[in-house]
Amino acid sequence: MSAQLSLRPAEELVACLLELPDSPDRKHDVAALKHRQRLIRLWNIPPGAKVLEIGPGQGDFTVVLADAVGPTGRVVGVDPAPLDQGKSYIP
Amino acid sequence: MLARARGAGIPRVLVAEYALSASHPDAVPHVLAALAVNALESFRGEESLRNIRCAVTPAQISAAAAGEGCTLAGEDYIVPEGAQRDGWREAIMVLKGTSFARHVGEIEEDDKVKHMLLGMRDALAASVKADGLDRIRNMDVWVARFEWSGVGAV
Repeated sequence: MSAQLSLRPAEELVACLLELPDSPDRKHDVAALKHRQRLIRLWNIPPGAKVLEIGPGQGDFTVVLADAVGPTGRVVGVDPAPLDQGKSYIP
Repeated sequence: MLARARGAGIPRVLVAEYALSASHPDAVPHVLAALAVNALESFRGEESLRNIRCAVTPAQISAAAAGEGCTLAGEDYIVPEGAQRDGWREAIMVLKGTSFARHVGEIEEDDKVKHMLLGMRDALAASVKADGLDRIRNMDVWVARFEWSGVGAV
């Protein structure tokens, strides 16, 4: 039997995002995290899973995946974009 | 990439992608914005940094996966919550930004193509005229699970 999925509230995970803390789109950020948690439940990704994420961008989904797989799991992100893409949005 | 994933022993591929469909009427502008940008980008080069550059549908993804021996094992279509603003952002960039029209002017295509692209922008504008930009919702999201099939499946 696989371990039960336990996800942190999106309102907590939002602090892990690269967006600025005073982002005017905070409601969107929280809603987007909840959306990604919904995907994880649909896919039934269990704690301890090893995930290769293709195209993580700024890591918004990576945060949710890491929370889902927990300390016994692993998330590796591979993105073709240059390392400084989106740097103007990072504090 | 799928072939490399199979060779690396990855047992399943999970996909979430905008479906280019709108179960909620307020998501139609998002679909129109995505199609307009996708059409424009099909005439531009690799230097583009736009968010949407080569949109693909669930049917196209499934067909490409099948070509790699990857079978669709399950799928869902979900309607994103209203607070998500990706569709609004895409529409704003087309309607309020200057780059869409500028890039249409820059592509080396005849007037027929340019009229088509600007017409797609105008269709987006018409779709938000009645209810305004703030009502725009994200389009449907396709959530899929693929597994390898046939000889040599992991």
